[in-house]
Amino acid sequence: MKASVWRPLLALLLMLGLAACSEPKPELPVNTRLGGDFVLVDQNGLMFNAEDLHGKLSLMFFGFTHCPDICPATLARTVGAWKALSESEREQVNLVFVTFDPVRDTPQHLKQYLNFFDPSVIGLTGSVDDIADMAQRFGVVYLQETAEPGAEQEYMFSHSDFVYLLDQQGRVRKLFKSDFNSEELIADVRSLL
Amino acid sequence: MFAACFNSPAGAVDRRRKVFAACQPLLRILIALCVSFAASASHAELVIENAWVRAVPPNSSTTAGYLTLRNSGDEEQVITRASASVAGAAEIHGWIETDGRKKMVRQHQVSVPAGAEVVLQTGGLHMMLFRLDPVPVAGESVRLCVGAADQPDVCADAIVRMP
Repeated sequence: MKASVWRPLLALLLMLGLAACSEPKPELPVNTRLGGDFVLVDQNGLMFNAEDLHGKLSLMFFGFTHCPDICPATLARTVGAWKALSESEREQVNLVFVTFDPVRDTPQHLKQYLNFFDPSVIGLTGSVDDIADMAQRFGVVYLQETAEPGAEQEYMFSHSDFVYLLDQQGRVRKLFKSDFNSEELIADVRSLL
Repeated sequence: MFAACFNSPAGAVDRRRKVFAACQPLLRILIALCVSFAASASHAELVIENAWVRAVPPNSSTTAGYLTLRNSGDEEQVITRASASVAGAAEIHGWIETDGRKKMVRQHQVSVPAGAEVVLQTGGLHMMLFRLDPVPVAGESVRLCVGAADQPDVCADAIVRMP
């Protein structure tokens, strides 16, 4: 075959290759099994429901403030990833912490606790039943564990530790493990902005 | 004084007794020094490295400490206690995962094999600090100690920092 025939063919293959390389990442799928309505109380003592998150993305984490290891580490990591966004991007992303320890995590306690990480973090608490209902909708598993006799804390919680990315309609788009890669999370957030 | 102790003339028993009596305080000091040296040598086989404490909100009653326990000795060291300068109590905890839930479990003993190290880190073994008073602030230093049975505490200064 002559070179004059090869050249256009190579050029076409190259163009196809470049097109494939620049193809946008597939959109994050909507998780239709998780998420839904909830009615809780925020750190200011005001009623807060699922629709209050709509219009922005949300990074949501479930935990309790007497947890000394994974919960503050995950909160700090999530807030750190959020702070790596530009100011205009941050304005489009809610940070949400939901406690499953309403007895100790009152709105006042949550407010002071979360201010430490960033004043914009929304803290949600509520009745034991309302929190359990929301947790079930989001597939969060937790269990109050009675401590052994003589232990420092009367009870702790064993729990799942995913960070949820919700879209502007409050739909679950992705779950991240608590030791998530920040760059991956930021890229996924940006893909939905 | 050493001359009086070791150059006593032979033969005179009562004199020897007097010399021995005179030497007793010095012997006690020497024995004490030997025991102390032996204890510190054994103690030095276990060291704490890379210690830090998680900075937490001012209304937190708990936080966690992280460190590496290095045992350069020839014998296993079994840690049975922990303490911290700003905490009413300290315990070592680990994590287990069952049915999708992570659960903290107190470790009453932590073995550091001879010539090995054990790392206390986020999501793994860690030192729980309870009843913080005061709550340490980022940049401050906290004294963390661990101890094996019948051994003196091994301590290190841990920097308080954001995770």
